[in-house]
Amino acid sequence: MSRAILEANHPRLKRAPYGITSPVDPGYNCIAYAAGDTKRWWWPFHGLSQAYWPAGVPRELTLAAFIEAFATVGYAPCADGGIEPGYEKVAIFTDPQRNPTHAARQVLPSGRWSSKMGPQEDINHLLYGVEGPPYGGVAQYLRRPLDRGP
Amino acid sequence: MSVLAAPMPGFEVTPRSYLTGVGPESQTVQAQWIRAHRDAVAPVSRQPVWQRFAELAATWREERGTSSSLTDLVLSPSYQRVISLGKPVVPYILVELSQRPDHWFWALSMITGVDPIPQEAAGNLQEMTKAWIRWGDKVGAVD
Repeated sequence: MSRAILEANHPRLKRAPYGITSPVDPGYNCIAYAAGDTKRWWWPFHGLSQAYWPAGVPRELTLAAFIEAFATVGYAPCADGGIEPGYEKVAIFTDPQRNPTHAARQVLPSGRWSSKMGPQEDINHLLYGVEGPPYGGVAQYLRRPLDRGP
Repeated sequence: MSVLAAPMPGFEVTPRSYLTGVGPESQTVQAQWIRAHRDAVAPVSRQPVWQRFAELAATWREERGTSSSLTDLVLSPSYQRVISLGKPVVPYILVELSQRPDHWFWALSMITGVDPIPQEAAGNLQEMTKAWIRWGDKVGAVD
């Protein structure tokens, strides 16, 4: 059933290898997971208490606001999603209107990616597998030194 | 018994099984009759609130897909229909929260006009659930 939901929403997963690595959990989402937080749902929601958003970061659905949110946990923009010794990376996805939709984090040392799929499971995947509707494509890669992480 | 469900001369009021050995047209007529009978006896508008909420909650879980946007989650049609059920649905949402925590907090806030979630619990499903359960206990929302 879970694979059916994932593949119905992301048809490329039918052709790209991926694995489910957690149970369904509505307690956190992709943005939280990429930032290293599996206890909260991160989103710039207009209701102040129903979702977490870092203090001082604009509650707006823009790439700039998401980059700023990841900066609060040590990430800064970088050129690409390739493996760089000493760094871990995050990829921010936007839809064609440039609205942020998703974030994935790089898995080391393989260089594959890991995503929390909304309220569904975590998966290990290729970026290609979750590109296209509804997530769109990668608009920005970020990196932080490995010793900065949790 | 309502007028709609009252016996009518020459009609089977409670069809028990599909006819066999008849053509597709007859089967279609019978299927429509069975559906009309079911809707007359228990239309959506006569469903108890708990049943309507259970159906909408199940639909919401199916239709929310893989979106991380809380805005998308609360704007989905089934979630909005839960809000439209108004105050009678609040006890059932609180029971659901206690058994299966999920993002019902926006609906509760919209229906009740209050928000008991402390700032430090924002986004934390377990802590937000506890805050609403405490609120329910305080106001006696669940018998």
